[in-house]
Amino acid sequence: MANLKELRNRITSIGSTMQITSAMKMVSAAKLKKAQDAIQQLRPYANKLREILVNISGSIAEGGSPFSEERDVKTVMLVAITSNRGLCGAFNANVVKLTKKTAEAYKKEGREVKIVVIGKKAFDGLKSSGFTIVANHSSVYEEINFARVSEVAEWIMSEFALGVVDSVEVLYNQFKNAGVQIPTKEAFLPIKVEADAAQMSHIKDYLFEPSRAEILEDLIPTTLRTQLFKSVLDSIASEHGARMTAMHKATDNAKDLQKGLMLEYNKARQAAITNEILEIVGGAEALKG
Amino acid sequence: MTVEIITPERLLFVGEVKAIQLPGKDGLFQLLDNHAPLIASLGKGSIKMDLAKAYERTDSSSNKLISEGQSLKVDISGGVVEVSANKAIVLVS
Repeated sequence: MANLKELRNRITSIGSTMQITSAMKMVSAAKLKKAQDAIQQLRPYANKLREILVNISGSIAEGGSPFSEERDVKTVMLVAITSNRGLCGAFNANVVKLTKKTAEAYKKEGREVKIVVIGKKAFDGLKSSGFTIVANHSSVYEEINFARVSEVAEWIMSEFALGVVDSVEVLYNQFKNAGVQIPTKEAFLPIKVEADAAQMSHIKDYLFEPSRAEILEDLIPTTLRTQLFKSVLDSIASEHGARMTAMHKATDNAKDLQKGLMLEYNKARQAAITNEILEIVGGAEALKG
Repeated sequence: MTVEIITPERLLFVGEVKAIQLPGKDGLFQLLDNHAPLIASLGKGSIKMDLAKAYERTDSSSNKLISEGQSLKVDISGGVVEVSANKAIVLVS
């Protein structure tokens, strides 16, 4: 029963771990709110852009833009979006796993795979996978804004336009809600503009300035930039959601552990007291005799 | 006519205007009330609006909007405008 002190120490240390995890949970909850707001702010822009794009391209014959050109796919670029930080459950591992799986599948088909990472964790997870990482854009997380992400999108577009890669896919965690993130693979380039029947029906007779083709040429890069920005924002919201869940679980686990230890501690303490009484009683008996 | 100016990061402006001048790709143009449906590509320049009433803006931390009494100016680097049903929606990047 000499481990009373040891138990006490463990209880305190678990207590402080619990404080840290619950604080991290709180921080993530606040950041999640902010990230969700950012997504909400983007939504009207993205929706309107989409609508205009559909309106313009709805009746036009496709094939004008260098970004909608479908080529024989020899080289695939995979853009893996994760976070820079860990401690968020399977969040990063999911994207890394999905990227590896996709890359393997393309390799089997005899296609060359180039990987672009956004997020340190994707870089760490993929650097030893045997696939070439052509670029690491983790620095966008230093300051998230549209301009920063646009630069990355711009670079990807130029790679595609130059014919370095023939297809681009983005892999990230789609934000469903705070508890659920869906690892998703999305085609990025070549871009497909499809109008469904419902949208086609209310296409209006617009005047175009300067011309339909020129506007389309302008809009497609903007759409791509917006799409990547949305993916990054989704990933950020997912990250905080995942971390919140992970930290909540960690706090719960710590609580359980602490409870168990407390029980053990009290048992040990009682045993010690009982022993002491026994000794005293024994001593008194001995004196009597 | 109602004007909405939207950026990817926030809603920059919503309000009633009498006229709006936009930096079209091929030069400045102005839209007045009840303009025919239009989609136009915008270049670098500034949007000038004649407001119907006192100016309102959605984000007080933004210093992009400059108040000049009844008119308002926003500098943009490019974008697109859609006009339909007496409503102009400007998407700027």
